[in-house]
Amino acid sequence: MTMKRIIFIVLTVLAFSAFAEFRPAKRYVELGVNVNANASENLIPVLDVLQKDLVLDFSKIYSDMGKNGFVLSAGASAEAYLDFNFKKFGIGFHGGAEVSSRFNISKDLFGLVAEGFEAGTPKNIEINSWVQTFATFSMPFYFRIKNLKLRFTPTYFLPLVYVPSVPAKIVVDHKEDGTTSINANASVDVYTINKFDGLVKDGKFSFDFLNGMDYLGLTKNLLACGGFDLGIGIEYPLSKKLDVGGYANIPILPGRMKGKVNMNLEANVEMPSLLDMAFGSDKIDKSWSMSDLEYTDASYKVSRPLRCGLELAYHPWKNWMTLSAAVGFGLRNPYGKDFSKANFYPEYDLGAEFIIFYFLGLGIHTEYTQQVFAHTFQLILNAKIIQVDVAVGLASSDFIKSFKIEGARARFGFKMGW
Amino acid sequence: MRQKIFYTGAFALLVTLLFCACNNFSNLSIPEKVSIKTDAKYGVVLGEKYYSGISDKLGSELTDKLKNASEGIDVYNYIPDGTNDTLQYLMHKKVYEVPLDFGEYLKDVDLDNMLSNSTDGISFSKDVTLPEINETKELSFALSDITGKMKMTQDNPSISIPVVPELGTEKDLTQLFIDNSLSNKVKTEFKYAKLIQFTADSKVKIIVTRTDTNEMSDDFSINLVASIGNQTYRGETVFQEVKVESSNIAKNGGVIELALNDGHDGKLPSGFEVVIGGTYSGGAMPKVHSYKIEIDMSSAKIKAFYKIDKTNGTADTSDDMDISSFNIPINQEISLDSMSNIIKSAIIGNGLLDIKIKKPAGLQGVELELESFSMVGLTGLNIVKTDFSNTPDASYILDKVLKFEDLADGKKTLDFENSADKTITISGNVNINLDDYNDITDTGGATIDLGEDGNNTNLVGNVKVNLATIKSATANLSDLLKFEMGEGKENEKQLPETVIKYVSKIGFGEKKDGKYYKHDENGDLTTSISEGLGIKCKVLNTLPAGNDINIKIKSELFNMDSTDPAKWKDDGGAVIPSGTDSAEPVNWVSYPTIDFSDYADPPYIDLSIKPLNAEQTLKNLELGKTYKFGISNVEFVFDWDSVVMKLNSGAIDPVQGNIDLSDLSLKKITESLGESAKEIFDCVEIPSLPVYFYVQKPDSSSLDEMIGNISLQGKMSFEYKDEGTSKTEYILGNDGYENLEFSNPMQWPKESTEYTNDLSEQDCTMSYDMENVLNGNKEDLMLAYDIKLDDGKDCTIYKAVFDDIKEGETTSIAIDAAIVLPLELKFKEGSTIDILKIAGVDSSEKKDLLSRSSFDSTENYAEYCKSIEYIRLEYNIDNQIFDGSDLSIQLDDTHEGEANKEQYSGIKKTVSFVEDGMIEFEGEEIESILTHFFMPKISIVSGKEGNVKILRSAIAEGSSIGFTPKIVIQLDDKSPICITDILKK
Repeated sequence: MTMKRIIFIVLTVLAFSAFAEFRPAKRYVELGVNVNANASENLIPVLDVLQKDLVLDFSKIYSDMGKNGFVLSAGASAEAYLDFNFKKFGIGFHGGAEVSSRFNISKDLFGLVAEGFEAGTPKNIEINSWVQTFATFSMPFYFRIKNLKLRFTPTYFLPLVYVPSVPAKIVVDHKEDGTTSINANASVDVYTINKFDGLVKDGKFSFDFLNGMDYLGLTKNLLACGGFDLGIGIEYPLSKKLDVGGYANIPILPGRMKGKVNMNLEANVEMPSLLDMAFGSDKIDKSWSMSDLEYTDASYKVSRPLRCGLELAYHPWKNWMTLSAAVGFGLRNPYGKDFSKANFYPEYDLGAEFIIFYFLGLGIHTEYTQQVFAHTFQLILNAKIIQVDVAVGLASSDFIKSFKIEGARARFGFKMGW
Repeated sequence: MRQKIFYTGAFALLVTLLFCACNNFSNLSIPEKVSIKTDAKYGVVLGEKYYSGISDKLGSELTDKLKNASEGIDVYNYIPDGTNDTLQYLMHKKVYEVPLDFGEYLKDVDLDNMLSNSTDGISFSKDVTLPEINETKELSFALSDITGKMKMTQDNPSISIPVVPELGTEKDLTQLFIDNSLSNKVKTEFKYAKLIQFTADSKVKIIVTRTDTNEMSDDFSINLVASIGNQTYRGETVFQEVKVESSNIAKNGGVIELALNDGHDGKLPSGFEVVIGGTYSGGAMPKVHSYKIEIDMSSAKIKAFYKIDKTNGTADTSDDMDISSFNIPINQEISLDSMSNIIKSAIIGNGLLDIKIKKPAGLQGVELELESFSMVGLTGLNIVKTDFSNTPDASYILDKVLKFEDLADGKKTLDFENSADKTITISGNVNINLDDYNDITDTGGATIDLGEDGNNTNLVGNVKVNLATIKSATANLSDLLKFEMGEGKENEKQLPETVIKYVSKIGFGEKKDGKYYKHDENGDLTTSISEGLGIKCKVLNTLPAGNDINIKIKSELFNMDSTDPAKWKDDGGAVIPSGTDSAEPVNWVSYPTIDFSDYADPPYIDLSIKPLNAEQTLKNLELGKTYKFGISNVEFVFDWDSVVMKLNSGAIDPVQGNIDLSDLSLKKITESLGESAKEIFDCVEIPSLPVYFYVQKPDSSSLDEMIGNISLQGKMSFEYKDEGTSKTEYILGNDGYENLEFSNPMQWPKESTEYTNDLSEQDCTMSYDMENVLNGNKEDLMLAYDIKLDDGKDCTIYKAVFDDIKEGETTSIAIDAAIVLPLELKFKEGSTIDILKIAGVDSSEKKDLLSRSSFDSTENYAEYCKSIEYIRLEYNIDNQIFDGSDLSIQLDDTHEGEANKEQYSGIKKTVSFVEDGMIEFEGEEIESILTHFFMPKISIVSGKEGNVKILRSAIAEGSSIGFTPKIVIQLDDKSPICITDILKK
């Protein structure tokens, strides 16, 4: 599930560019960079925390908390590109990297503080987290057939490090006879693009394995691990004021992770009742085990989501104002072993952009992408040759909370050309 | 354009409003104080605590203690009313008894069980298995030991003919031997025997091998002729010539075979010759050849040796060549260990010892002689060679026989008792003599014929020992059959004192026409025959006739001796007759008159039953048989007919005794609770402890009539110490005896440990509630009694009187005391017991229950109590032990009346003592505890009916009392808890 979310984030970034194509290009040649960052949590609004006298109302936090518990997600991406835009056709070269992560604590932990506990009702606290990093190289191109514009985005992506899921579980069971048991276990699987045996030694990173490595051979092997998919976009102006279109992203070849590092942790505590400890000889029985890091060969396949949707753009005053809407759906890892109904997710994006005084643009978007609700404000400074885009916004996995500052999204874009 | 500017401005305003509406940005700050608000409720079960093992303490341990209060006390679980669940014990003791049914006393002694139990009794069963001794040991001698020494020798068994020339003409082969100085004769010779005979298929092989490789002419030939020439012995040809001519066979080598058993009877002189001859012819000079000729006897086998000359071959004097002496050793052992467990010594009766060796057909001039022999063992057995007799039998070369019945007892006695080794050892030697051939005139000389195939090589025979009977044996029966009872023995038993006090004589019937008849209740003789006094049992004795086992039964007290005709009126004494092959019942009884008149003190019951003679001689036992003898189902017979009672009050001393009730006093009970007993002692008292007395005489009117007009008088008192002063409180009589009225007869359970009748509803002679003498500071309580008979007279009571008395009816004059002990304490109304004092908590110490000498350290936390709605201690009690429903536990920290009461929390709580409940402290109360000292008085408080009683279920197996406490903390979300402040503190 977590892995699919990671892929979804990656594709959502691509979706941005897909929506961007829906807008007319302003320069024949564009050289630019885009930097995105986002972070969100759903526990308490940031502005509520930044109070001199902070009161954490756990009863309210708990009751307001969704069934998934506490979710902390963060991600960042950077991209550089060179695009050539002509009337009938265009082509571009994009390269970048991105990292995404998510950390989740189940609701039961907050229930301990907010509701307390009763004997005979075990508390299952689950902690889940994942991290994913990708490098992507794409070469989008488009051409027009009369009024019909077709856009293709073949993308080669290379998964670098992939932590699909670190399920950790803590079960606290205070029984009706007064005894208490605490059992915790975690199994950490970190997939890497290659098997890096001995990366961690004695708790420290060690790069001894790089000595004598066949870098040329390694590079070939690494590149062979990349995946490939194809984005297709189509748009057609129904009138001078209204454009309609569709988009799709079709995974063709999954990326492969060839190395795996595994570690297991387990801890058990058996506590006799307080009476038995006070009046008897019973003692707390503790055990703790942590396995050594195990480096193994793996063949873990990662596909990017299959996405499909419709979009439209309304220009009441030519390019001075654009109202856009998109609706679609995605299927995470559609060819993966873990594919199920749960891999389906919807997405939407509603936006409005205004161009003021030719060089200043303002935009506002509300969207549900990456399974996060976000509302962003966009500022565009266009000095013909140089253009700067800045977007900031609120984000949260909960729609209501998305209007409070529990998370933020920011984008910075710079491009130049003519 | 205006429109564009308007919409753009409106959009910018909308974005600004959105951000401003979300939050008040002007108040943002880094948190300096962090608080938590929650209405969480925490429930922590502290555990379960159960106390078990109470059932034993209140059950068996307590009843054992009560039984020790005085001899003869029975303790019952008293359940007069099913609805009353208080555990009550009933202590019953016969404080006075005059026995009238003498048999009842002997029942208590339980002689039946003593006689028949497996360790001390006389019940036994013994199987004596005499081993079957019929053993045969094979004897064997290999004749090859003799014939093997008659070795064969050969002269020149291999001949080389170095030059056989091709001359073209026929020439005599013999000449070649002569020319080469070789012999053409090969002699074979056997030692010792003058004549030999080979088996029919024996042959001598003449093996010719050409040893040259020269060219040989085709027409060259050799005709080899080999023969065993006519051989003579003492001038007579004993072997015809055997000649084989072979044309050309030897030209390139070959084999010629000559039969060795051919002609006449096949005999050869022990030295015979193979002669080589023939011709050779053809060929052309100068071709020359060479040959080797070997005489091979490997396929020849000797059938017989004749005319053995033991001195022949004197040239070879080595031992292995000596055939002058051969022996057959005899060695055998027979174990008689299994006979030694009961038989001390024995004399063998019939039996046979036989040494035989068969005579082979081909043996002549060979004699066997028993050179030496001994059969010894078990000290007395001593048989030698001369004890045998010869029994000539042509089929045996040796036949020696010995019959044990012909031997004197002195030679065949087996002493098991004094012999460490219970083994018979047989040893000896048989010598083989060969008839020697002396000279040519001697017609004798031994012949050893090994049969047609030469394999009949053994002399076989055996030594056979067959013991059939034991003429007589001495057996020790005293360890098997022994019962002794009396003073100083482990099973010693005294007659009850009351028996000799009130009984003078016991009779077992009146003799008439040789039989003993019993009397009816009026003293008239009946036709009912008394079974007498003694033992009844089943006996078994399968020993042969003449082996009766005589038993001696003797008792001074019962005036009987089975070996004394004056004291054993039954004919024949006590005997287990031989030939009794199934268990048959016998009565070994007498009809004495027992007289207790001379005994000042209670005598010990003496009774001995054992064999008349410690060692019994058993006769004519057959070996290989199992004999059984034993005694089983032993019963003591005491079929008394009359008893003479001494009920003359003038002649009988009063009976005095006491019952120790010191453990029942309140002081003793509370002391057992430890140092803090005083705290409890002042608050409780024993609510009730009644004692009932029942004075009884026989139910039977006829028995009552026999003993006449009799009454009882007595004195009874409680003796105790009150504040150290000895006191006596009479409940019957005082200076003199007081008459005791007879009550209805009582029956006390014999088997059951429960008593279910309500004593308070039964008529008793007198009763008394000991409550007054048990409460307060009284201790060392004793119930003393002094009872005597009055108006009595001596009388004879016939047992027939008791025949009509039903089971359980009173047959004695007796006084029963019954004490009812309810396990219950009464708390005085409004009394309180300070639990902290009992627990040893010193309130004078300047620390409260939270170990604080000041509350400075805790009052800082008081403000957080607002965040606590309450802290509650809930507890579940699982109680099967006691009931104290009117009691409660009070926690009082008000310190009313004390000058400094303000410094205490002022909290006062009351909770249930024995039922589920809880004690709750609200936030304000907790705050009060944190800001004040907390040194409450914790007391057990009683209401009006403040009794604590032990439940009957307390003595059920596995009963226990347990409690499960649980702490519940309910937080209040109206008051946040400041974490940063707590951390600073």
